[in-house]
Order: sequence, then C-alpha cells, then structure tokens
Amino acid sequence: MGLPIIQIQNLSKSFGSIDALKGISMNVDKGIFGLIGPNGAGKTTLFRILLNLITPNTGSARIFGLDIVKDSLQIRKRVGVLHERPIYLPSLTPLEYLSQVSKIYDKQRDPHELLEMVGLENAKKRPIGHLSAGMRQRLGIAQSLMGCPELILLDEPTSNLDVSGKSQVLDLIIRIHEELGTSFLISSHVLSELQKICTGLAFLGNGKLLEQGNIAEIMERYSKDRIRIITSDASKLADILRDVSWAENVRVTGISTVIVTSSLDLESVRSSVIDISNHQSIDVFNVGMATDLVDIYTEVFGDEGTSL
Amino acid sequence: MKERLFRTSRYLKKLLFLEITTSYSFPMIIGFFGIICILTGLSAMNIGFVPLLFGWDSEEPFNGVEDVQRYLGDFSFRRGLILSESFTYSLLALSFLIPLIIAFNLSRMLEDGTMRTILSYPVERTRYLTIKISLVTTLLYILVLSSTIFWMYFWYPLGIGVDNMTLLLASSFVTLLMIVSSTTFLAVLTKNMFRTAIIGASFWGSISYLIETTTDAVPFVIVQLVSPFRVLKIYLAGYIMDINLIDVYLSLAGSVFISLVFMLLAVIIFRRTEV
Repeated sequence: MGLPIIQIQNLSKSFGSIDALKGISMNVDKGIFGLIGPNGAGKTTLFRILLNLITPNTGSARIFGLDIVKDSLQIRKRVGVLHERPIYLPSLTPLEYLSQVSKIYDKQRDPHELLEMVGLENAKKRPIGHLSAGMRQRLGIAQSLMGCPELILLDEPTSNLDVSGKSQVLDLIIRIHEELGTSFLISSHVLSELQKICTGLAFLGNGKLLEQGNIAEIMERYSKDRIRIITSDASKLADILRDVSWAENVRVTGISTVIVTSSLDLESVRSSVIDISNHQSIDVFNVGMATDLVDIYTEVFGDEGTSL
Repeated sequence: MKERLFRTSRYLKKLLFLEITTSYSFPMIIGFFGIICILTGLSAMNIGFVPLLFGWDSEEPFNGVEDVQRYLGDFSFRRGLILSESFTYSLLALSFLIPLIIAFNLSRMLEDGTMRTILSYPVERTRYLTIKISLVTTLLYILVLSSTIFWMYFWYPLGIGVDNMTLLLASSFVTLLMIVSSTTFLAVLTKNMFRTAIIGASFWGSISYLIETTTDAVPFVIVQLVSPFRVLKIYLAGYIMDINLIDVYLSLAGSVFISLVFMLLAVIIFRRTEV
C-alpha cells in the first residue's frame, strides 16, 4: 500500500462555544473509506475543512501530499465533491447541468457518458425539479465525477433516500470504484450502509476520532470476546447476567438483544445462557458472536458517539 | 508569458461562464428586464414631463406660436438638466435595486449552500468575487445607458459636448461602482440575504434621496465622495455655469478609491468566509 491519500494531523475546529472537532489525527488510504458518526459528530465539518471551505483552529491536513490550505486549488482539481442536500436549478436538465459543470474543469468527462454511467440517460432532458431524490443524488455523483477526480468526497450520499434509492447509490459507488479506480471518502450516520461498501472506517463521535482502521481489523479487535444474545426479554436477561461471574460488560442494545463480553468460549456461554433461560422462563432464540459493526459501534462507542 | 496570459484568460472566461450560468437564471433575467423597463419609463417621464413643467407657465394664457417658440427655447436651454435627470432617476432607482440584486446574487448563495458547491470546484475566491462584482456592475451600467440611449436615439441633447458627456458617463459609472462595491462588502459581512437587502436599500436609498433633494444640507465634500454623478449633474443642470474640472476629477478619484477599498475589504472577508 502506498502513501495515504489523506493525512490529517491534530485538526480542531470550534464554532463559538461548540467544539466541532477536537484534535483529530487520521490517515485515509486509497479505496472506499467511511466516516461514521451520529449527527453533529463533526463529519461535515471535517469535509469542509478538507475542501478549505472553513479554516481549522489548529492542526493541518494533506490530500495527495498537498496542503489543504496552500494548495487548495490544486487539490480541488483532483477531488470531486457531493455535499449533503445539494442545490440545483430545478429548471435545468441533467444534461445542461453537467455541461455547465464540465466547463469549469480543464480535464473533463463527457456528460452523456456520465449520465449513462449513473443510469440517467433516459432522464437527461427532464428538468431536475422533476427527478426523484435518488435520481438527483445520482446526478450529484455524476457531477462529482466530471473533473476525472482521483478522490470523491460524499457527504451523507444516502440521506433522504428510500431503500431502493440507497441501494442504487451504494451499488453505483462500488461500480465507479471498480471501473474507474476512484477512491471515496463517504460520511454517513448509517453504519450498515458503509459496512457494505467500505474497506476502511473511522468512527467519529462528538468531534473526536474514536476508532479507525480497516473493517476486518476493527471486527477482529472488538468482536472476538463479544457475544450477542437474542432473547424474548433482554432487560430481564441482562439483569441476571450482571450477577454471573463469566459475564462482563453486559449491555442491552435493543428490545431483544443483549451484548456481553466473556473470556469463555462461545459453546460454554451458550450452554450457560440456555441453562439460565430455562430456570427463569425466558426464551433465548440465538447466541452467537457479535460480528456486526453496528453492534460494535453501539456497544463500544455508543455513549461517546451519541451523548457526550 | 504568452502561455500564462492565455491560461489566465481561459480561466477567467470559465469563471465568467460559471457566474452567468449560476447567478443569471430565470428570476435574475426577469429582474433585469424589469429594471430596464423601470429605468426606461423613468427616463421617458423625465424627458416627456420635465420640459413641460419648466417650459410652460400655466398662469399665462396660451399665446400661439410665441409660446411654442418660448417653450422650444427653454427646452433647448434645459437639455443638460433633462438628460442628467434621466440618469438621476436611473441611479436613484438602482440605489434601491442594487442591494436587492446583490442580496439575491451573493448573500443568498452564501446562505443556501450554492456558494459551498461552487467553491468546492477548482475556483479561486478572489477572482470569482471580482468577476461577480465586475459582471453585475457592467450589466447594470449597460441598463442605465441603454435606457438613456434609447431616448437619445429620438433626441440628442445638442447643448452637451462630447467631453461633458464622457464625464457624465464616467461619473455615473463610478457612482454605480460605489453602490455595488459597498453593498458587496455588506453582503459578505452579513452573509444574510434579508440584512443585505434591507440595510443596503435603506442606506443607499436614503443617501441618494438626501443628496438629490437636499443639496445644501449635505456637505459638498460628502456629495463629491459618495456621488460624483451628482457633482457633474450640478454643473450640467446649469446651477454652476463653469465646470470646475478639479472638483469633478477629485470626486471621481475619491469615489474610485473608496470603491476599491470596499472591494478590497469584501475580497479579504470573502477569502476568509466560512461556507
């Protein structure tokens, strides 16, 4: 693996008394990288700093080895962007809009080719105001590809989309990465989406970087001792497990889900839980390793990620 | 050197295109069309009615050919006044309209996220704002001129020489630049469409009205700096027969300087503006 495409050193940013970013340092490698965190975690602020739209209070960052402040223009020639809830002129057609955007770049793609790539060739002459939210989002991705970028920043690309729209956008991102080799930095507060497409992830909570790495590493790091129990009464089972010697860090993460950390192997835990459930008249439907990133995020970063 | 010039001009052309396509869409074009109609109407009103008001004394009975000749004599004498009044009403209307245009064209873009999108493209802020100011000034000036020239096509004021006409055009341009640059400064400072529109229109509307209606109440030096057009108009309207060119040049230079200061401040703030 070569040099990271994004290098961030101790970035801080505050808006009045609110600290949006608190000394973030991280590297982003080529590929599809996800930035996950709840609303207000600092994801959009980080994007805006990387594009030199706002100035950090402290710290520095480099993209392709170029300084984000001094070499911003050079960076923006090589980076495509889709902001959250982009503004379009509703009377323009996708083809007209992309033709306008293409004029800004020295090196640009053919608007027709891009519309075909994002599946909007049949809607290219329809006013943008008449397009669905998913189509507008795909148009946004098309415009971000206009300058033949090596990296695309997508801020909440699936927000306000229905299930089908989300799926189309995620598939498109994967296809673009595979066909064109473009890297992506994607922010989202929906981890399950990023889990499907990203090779690397960073968890951001309350302006702090909570964890970073590739998905396999993070799963390995956090899920080996963590067991998920699906039950009919999660809170009752959790109360019981808190008094059991092998169970540590017992947490209820849903109406029917209990996550527990244990040094015992899975089989021993399973038999013990079934034993308890039989005595306490609680149904236990499943006992397995908690290998889902959502569980890891909720369990390990839940408090800091949402409430701090 | 040649290559560099070529690249710069190509880049500026791109910015100009970007500005036209992003800012001059349907509502703006309709707005500009409205402005040209208002200005032409105001000019028509002046050219049509001012001579009548000044040239006809209703106390005296109409006396046929003699009165018509007297009227024509007065009409000729007041050509300067009429022409400058035509510009005056155009500029007075624009002192209200410019803040509205810049509020829509700049503050709105800062407010609704359009500017964030534009500045995410490879666009340099200083050049972009300069292009924006230049384009809006040029377009508005063309509107002022076109409404006046439209009437001059039917009637040219022979009493005004080319030199004075050039000064009149220059002074109206500088006055326009002054309003545009100060309002741009206000727009980047507030980053709010309604504040820019209300503060800008109130300020420039009142200043222009005060200068036009209460000449003696406003110190001449302030008139010189704020409205070189007014200074020239005072001469052309016949209030002062001999034009003091030093007054006019000082007024033009002072206003250009103040406009440049406002533009510079606007650019400095815009470069640091967080979008």
